[in-house]
Amino acid sequence: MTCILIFEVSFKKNSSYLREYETDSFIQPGISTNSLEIPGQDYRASIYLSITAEVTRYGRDIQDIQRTISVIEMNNAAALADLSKLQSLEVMRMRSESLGFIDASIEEKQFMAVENFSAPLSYDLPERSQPELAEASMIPIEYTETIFSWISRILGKYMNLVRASKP
Amino acid sequence: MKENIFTRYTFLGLILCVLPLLIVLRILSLQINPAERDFYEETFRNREKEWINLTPLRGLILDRNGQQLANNQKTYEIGVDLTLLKDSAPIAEALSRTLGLDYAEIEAQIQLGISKKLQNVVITDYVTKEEIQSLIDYLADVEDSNDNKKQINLRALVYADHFKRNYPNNETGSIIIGYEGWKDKITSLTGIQGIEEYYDEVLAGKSLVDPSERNPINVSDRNISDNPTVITTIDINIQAMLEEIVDREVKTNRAKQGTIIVMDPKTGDILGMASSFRIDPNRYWESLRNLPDDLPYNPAIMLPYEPGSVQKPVTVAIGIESKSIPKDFTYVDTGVLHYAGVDIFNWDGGAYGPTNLVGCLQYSLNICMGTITTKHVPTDVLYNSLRSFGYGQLTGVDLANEVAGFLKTPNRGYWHESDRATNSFGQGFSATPIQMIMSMAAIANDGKMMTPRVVSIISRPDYTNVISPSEKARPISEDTADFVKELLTKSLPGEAESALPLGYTMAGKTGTGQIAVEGGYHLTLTNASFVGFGPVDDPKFIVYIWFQEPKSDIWGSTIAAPVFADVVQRLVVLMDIPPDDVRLSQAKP
Repeated sequence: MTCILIFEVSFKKNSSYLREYETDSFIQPGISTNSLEIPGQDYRASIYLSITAEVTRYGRDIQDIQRTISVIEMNNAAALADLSKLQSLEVMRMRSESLGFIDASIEEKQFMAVENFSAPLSYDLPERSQPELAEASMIPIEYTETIFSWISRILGKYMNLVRASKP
Repeated sequence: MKENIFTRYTFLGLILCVLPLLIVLRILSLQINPAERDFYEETFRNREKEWINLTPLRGLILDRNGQQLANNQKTYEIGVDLTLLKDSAPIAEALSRTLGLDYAEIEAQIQLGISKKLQNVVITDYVTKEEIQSLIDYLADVEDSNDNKKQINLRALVYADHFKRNYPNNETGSIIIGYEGWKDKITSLTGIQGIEEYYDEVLAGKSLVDPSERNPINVSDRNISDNPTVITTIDINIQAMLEEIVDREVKTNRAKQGTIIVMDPKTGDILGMASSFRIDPNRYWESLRNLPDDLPYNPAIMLPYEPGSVQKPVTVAIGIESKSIPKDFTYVDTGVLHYAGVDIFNWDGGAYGPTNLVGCLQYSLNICMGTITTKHVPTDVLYNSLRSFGYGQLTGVDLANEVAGFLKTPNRGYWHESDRATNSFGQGFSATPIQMIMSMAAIANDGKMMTPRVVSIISRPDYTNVISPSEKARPISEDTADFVKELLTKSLPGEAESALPLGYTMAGKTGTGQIAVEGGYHLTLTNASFVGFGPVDDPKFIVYIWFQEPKSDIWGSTIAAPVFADVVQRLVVLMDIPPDDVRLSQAKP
């Protein structure tokens, strides 16, 4: 029963399921609302559990992704280091010499004047181009808070009310 | 029998009643005892979280074309789990065979660990991927064999990967890049010298201990940002070319050391900075032992010297800018200048008679320069102008441990009236090569003196910070700069023809600085220098060359000037600068 009461409070806000439940069409004529109390609470409890299970599953997926990202970042860094070794001056020089290339001297380089040619303009990167992030949707606190934090929140609210009502 | 069952049920009933009551009492006791409640709440929170130490990888350093200059390489630490160890011999054998480690030393390390009752002992670190692969292959071979005893003992051998700083081009560019290492036994790994030290905070980032949620419901973003990539102004091909030339010339001329800097005078971008002494930052602890005690890590920014006649264009610029001398200034060279108790002679002791400014620079006449500063430019104007050219101050180049040269100022310290004369031809004060190239770049860049820099972009995943070139000062006007540039262009072919590359018009000046010793100047040792820039109509580079104490010859015109031509001939190929005839015909409408 305590649990059901907690669910009652938890679902007071932001629950689309609750809104559906509270519509007039849900209450059939001739049936007492009191007799629907317990099935209603059960319904809420099952929704709560279902949502919590979903959140947990997605949370685990996120944790898995975070671990994978870390591993990929480490592998990326290692691959970059390997690549840099292959592209290092010494290796490139050895490879080019083995292929028969030699440094071009000034006499070997020919420049030609081409009419109407203009060199491409250099592109300056914009400074501090902060990408705009879409606002992430928030899970209402009622879905994630612990019993302790719920109690302290409710007590805090109550205490504020008491303070406000004092002259 | 019935009674017995009744007793059992009663006992069970009592337990079922008392247990919930105890639980309720415990809950109540927790509610009324805040200290205990806080303890359990804290314990609960800690169990929900997994504290992970997140140390970001050090940021990359790239050259101006994206070539990697510093990155992070995966290496391995190899150790022994002493709790699993039965016999150390197979481990010592495996490591000595595959990694070439000393068998006895491994045994000793393991025994030391056992005597200290340690759980693990580290045998070696920074093992490469190839080396670890050979160890893995060896372990696989043992697994395939029937030697069960060996197999069991080798299970105590453990390894873990981690990253270390890697410099793929080894010693190329090391005086600019610096290295990551330990400054002393107390501090942790840090950037030392060059970019690594100057941008240490940027490159290292902040390691943080992150409370990662174990509870998947509370999972959140790990707030660790990738460290930025630092993009330098260095062209690694130009750098390698300069190092090749400086090594060759130091050897040929038997100089103590050599330094060459190439800079873009319009932006202050350092394209290359080479010194004949370099370390391999991948093995800095060994390389540093070979660095002579009296040479700093990077002489280009840390070793001030008396530059000699490369200072003369600045003296002429100060005279013209302050209107102390006209552009058609002439004087009669008698072969000696008596000033403040000091006799000043030309480099060859000759008397050149009536001479104009082109002649002054072409024949590199000390008496001409001394005449300008002692008879025409007022003292305060001279020293204010020298300060505005940056002498005696740091240039502000973004490299660690820059040293300012020393400029004596009137009526302070050791300043003597005769310094007015000697300062005019680059004696009596000291400047680093980076200071010299910065002040000369003002002449090449229409009077605007740019702050030298080696980093142009700091790129983070979420934003890019483009560092704009910064104008340090404007010591002379565009008109003065153009005039001095013209003087240097006209005088260079007469002064040092060997400095001229084919097809390109260059401006430049040689310098032979005497070396101060106790009681005067050394009779045979000099500093041979050259500064030049080009193409004169649109300068794309300025080159500063310095050879310290060359033994083959003493003159800048014979030692440093031909090196300038060599550098330029290779520079124009690497920078794709067409010869004057092609470039100027292109520029015509």
